[in-house]
Amino acid sequence: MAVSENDETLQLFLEEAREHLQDIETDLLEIERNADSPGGELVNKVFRGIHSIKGAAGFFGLTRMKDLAHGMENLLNRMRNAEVRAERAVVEALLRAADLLNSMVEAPEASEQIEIASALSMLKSVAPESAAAADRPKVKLMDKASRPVFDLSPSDLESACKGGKSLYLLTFDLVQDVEARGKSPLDLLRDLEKTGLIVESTVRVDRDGLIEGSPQLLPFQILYATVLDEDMTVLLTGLSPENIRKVDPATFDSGKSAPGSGRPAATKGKRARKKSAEPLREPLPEPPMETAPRETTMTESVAIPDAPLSESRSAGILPGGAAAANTLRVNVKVLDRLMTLAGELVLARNQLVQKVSAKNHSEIQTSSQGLSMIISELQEAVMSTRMQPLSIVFGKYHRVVRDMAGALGKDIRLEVDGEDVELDKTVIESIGDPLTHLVRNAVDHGVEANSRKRVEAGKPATATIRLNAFHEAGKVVVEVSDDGRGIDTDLVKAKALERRLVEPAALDRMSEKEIIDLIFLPGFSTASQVTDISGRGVGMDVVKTNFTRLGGVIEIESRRGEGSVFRVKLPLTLAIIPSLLVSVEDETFAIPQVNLVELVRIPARDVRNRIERIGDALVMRLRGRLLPLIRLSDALGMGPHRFQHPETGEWMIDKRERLEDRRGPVDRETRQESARRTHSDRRFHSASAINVAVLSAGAFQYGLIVDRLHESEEIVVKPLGRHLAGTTCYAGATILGDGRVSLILDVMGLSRQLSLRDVGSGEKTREEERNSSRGRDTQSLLLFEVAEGERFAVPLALVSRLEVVPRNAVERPGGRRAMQYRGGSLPLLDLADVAKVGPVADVESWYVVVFAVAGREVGLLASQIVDIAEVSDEVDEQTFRQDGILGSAIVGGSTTLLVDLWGVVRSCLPGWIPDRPAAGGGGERPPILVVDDSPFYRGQISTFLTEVGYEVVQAEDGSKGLEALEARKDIGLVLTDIEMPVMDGLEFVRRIRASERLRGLPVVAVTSLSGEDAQLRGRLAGVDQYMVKLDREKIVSAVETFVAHGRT
Amino acid sequence: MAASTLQSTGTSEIELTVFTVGDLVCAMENLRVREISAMRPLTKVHHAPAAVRGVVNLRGQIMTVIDLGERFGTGEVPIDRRTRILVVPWGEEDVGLVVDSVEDVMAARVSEIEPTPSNISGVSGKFFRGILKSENDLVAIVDVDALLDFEG
Repeated sequence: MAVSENDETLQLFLEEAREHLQDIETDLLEIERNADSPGGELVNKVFRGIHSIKGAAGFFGLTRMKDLAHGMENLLNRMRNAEVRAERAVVEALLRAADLLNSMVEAPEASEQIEIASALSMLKSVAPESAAAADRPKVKLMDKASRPVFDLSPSDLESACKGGKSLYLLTFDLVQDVEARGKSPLDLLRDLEKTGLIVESTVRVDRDGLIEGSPQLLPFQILYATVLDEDMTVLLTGLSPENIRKVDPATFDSGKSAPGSGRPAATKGKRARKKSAEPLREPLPEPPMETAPRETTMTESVAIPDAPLSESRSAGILPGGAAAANTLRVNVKVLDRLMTLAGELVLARNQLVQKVSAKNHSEIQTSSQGLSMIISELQEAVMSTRMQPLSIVFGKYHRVVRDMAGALGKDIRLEVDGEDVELDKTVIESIGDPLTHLVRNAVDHGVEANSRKRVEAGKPATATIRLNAFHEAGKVVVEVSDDGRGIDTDLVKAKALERRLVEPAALDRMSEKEIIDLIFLPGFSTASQVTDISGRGVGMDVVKTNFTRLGGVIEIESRRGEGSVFRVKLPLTLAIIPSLLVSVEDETFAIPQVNLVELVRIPARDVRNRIERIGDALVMRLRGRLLPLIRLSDALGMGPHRFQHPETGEWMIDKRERLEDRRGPVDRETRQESARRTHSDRRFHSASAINVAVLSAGAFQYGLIVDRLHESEEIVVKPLGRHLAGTTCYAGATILGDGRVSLILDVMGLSRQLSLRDVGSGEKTREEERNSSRGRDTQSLLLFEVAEGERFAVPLALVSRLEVVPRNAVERPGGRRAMQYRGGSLPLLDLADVAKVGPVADVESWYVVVFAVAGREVGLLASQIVDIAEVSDEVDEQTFRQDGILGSAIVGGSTTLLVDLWGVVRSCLPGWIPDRPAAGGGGERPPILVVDDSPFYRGQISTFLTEVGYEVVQAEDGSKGLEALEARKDIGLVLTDIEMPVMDGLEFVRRIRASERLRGLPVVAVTSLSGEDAQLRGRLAGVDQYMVKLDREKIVSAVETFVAHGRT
Repeated sequence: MAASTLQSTGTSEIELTVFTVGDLVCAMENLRVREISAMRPLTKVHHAPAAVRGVVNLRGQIMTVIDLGERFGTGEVPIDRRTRILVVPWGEEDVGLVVDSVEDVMAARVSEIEPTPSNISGVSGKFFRGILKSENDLVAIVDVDALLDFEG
């Protein structure tokens, strides 16, 4: 009988089926592990679970589900009887079938369409029954009108009768015997299952099935095997005796060779196994009905229960029944309501406590303390109803590890500890995926591919992965550890470099732990690393983000050769969280404490030093690193309209520059901004200190500028309405002690707000992003000012030294500035002499940037040395190009002009630079190939070379370079960048060296990558010499040398 | 069409809560109003849709408050003594509607309700289910679902 899907009974069944299936995986795997001690209680347990699914599925007319369960049941039964060993293939078949069953349970309406034939045949074929057994025809149980009631295989009957059980055909009426008693059919099945076995059940709704003469009855027939005798069965079922019919399996044989027909049913069962049963003819007592006289088997004693029975009844639980249930299903909505109330109570308490402590009446205080305690306990009790054990999550990993280890050919044991540790439902539901990732990682990457390696390292051949959970300091710690190879920090380093996630120099300074933490960087694990097994394209950054979202923290401990531990600390609940309250103007916000790293207060006098502008973003110097800053008022767009520039919409930039303005000169401020700034600065007015909350959002941190920092408070998280679903800045709201609503900031959402804005605010920002995040080919630049507020930069590699000269020590021989230097005279140049820039500022003493040109040293005057910065080679060579200036780049937030040292010397000291006429020097000048992805550098280098008479061929990456070498066979020398897209310089050089024709071609690498490591790699690839970009002299002289002498 | 939806409730007479938004006299079926609340301390929600005035604490629940003036496009409702919040159940939550004042409760015969013109005093007709003409006044009956559905 097909029951409507939203039927409550069906839902109950499905829920129960889910429960049975939940443990089945773990149990089956455990059974497989203990394959040598068969028939244990566990097999029984699985059998019972599948069996009850089968029974109920039949009841609901879900025949595919029933058939599948039946197939499993058969196999399990044979395992129970120790006929079949729990071998891998057997367990595999059962697992597959369980998966299928699971999907059916998840979508019962589609379950009839699910193909089960292959699963069934797998179940059959893994342990083929003896031919005789398999061939045995089914037995039909007929009612008196020769209508089949049940179709049974002989083996089912046998197993049903095992252990001295008797068979009964029970006929319930769904209306009178079930519904009228306030039960559901499922309750009934469940009750029956406690004391026996439901072999089959069916509901007859077809017209024929209706009991004649009583069409309003709905017969529900159950073939029931139990050790109870008839009397007790009557008591158990509450059926009138006439609806219980004892069935003698012997009668199934329909008299054909039935020597033991008078013997007890159990023995008959055993006998039946040995012969071939046949359909039985008119064997069964007619189905029970109305008040028909009962037949022999039931006549004996319908009567009074005897002593043991009444005992068992008075106990309320039947013998052998399940232990009293100590769990209770509670609707989540009810719990939520309770949570709300508990939260309200907490708030009421907070208010009361506040008010009372002000009045200071000691008696009221005592009672308010009492109230406070009760409320805390109530809150805890209510919260505990939401707690669920970790076993729900841990359970599935046995299968995960088994399957993966099998696929990878690894031998891995999973140990699980602390599965009874409880966490809030929400947390439990959300940690599954990230934990799975960690487990998969451990199997795939953690454990050695080859167990021989393990043995050689003195470890057991079988690897162990351990899941462990425990309480620590009010949090739950979950560990995923393996005794595998540990994280190879060298590999991590190499990969981080390869993916350009980190600067080589920064890498050198990192501790082992910091290096390991690099795997959390977005982009660390990418497609190339993805394997079928663990990858799935999800990086550790996502894992970290997922845990962070839950208020968790993840850390790694790893020792090479010994293994790794991934440790996750999770909060017990998400419903009440400790938070920091902050405010901007008169608005108060809550920041979850888990996201809070530290609080920094920058005194007004330090703002200028500590806060920098990079492009359109603010950054703060915090212990040597730069932390992106975001103003909460900006992120939330508080009062945006007044600031928005009508044409460009750049109001954000306006606002942000104001903070940084304190650094810069006044005239610049007025020049650029006064026109747009029509309001007073509310937030950073009157030299106020700046409060920064340093927050961690998944893999990265940022600082949030707020007006005021308040106290920390336990807040009750409440959801926002549907109209606010699109606002990603908030994680919810809470009610403060004064009854007002305060929004809880979503630290990750806010950070996205920040990046959104970066994208929106134009070219410079994109450039800046590229600078900071992608870590392209970078160059160390010395940043300095000449006139105040004007920034210049020269490549650090070209600077010989920095000197300081008091203004009055500068001489002016022959109209030129010079200083006494190392027994000689050092010419001092002012950029303003060459370029249209401000003259060097009138300060007490100047800095001198010393560099060498044409074998002599010269100094460039600077009023201030700003910094040394790593800058990408994204240079704008158009906008500010002029004599003495190569171009501009955005560095540290300011437009910075790149000084053309050579050009400056050429125009100030023309005599220094020998004129080299084109094609001078007499020798043959072959064309030179310049390969660089940056148009700026490509152009620069080409200019150096054409100025001294070379023809230059340009290409933007290695592969284009190769093409050029094909096209121009007369090219005599290659100058190439190393870091390039498509084909990098190293690969390019390798290809050249691999070519018969090009092998002898001199290759000079022009790069900004410093460090011996990089140079070594270059030389290994076949680079002849390393040059610093923009070092015109050396480049030119190297080219001359190679052209003259070839490769040496 | 609008009037017929009202009729479909099966009653020939409906109870209306009459309120004002700017110059507009509006009404809403009593059945849709859970309670009428005085203005409560309001918390602004930045980045929220323009018509969302903020959130308030309604007995421990966070209730979104929508400014009907802003929703109608006639300008934010000024907050004063007479400002009220109509609390309207919507799905699983309650939503507050800020109005200038709540005037009266009246009964109206469904048959007297006329279809909505394309706009009423400059407010789009999509927010209304019909209009009711009394002796000296026009009462616009709002379509609560249309008001609350920001996607439509």
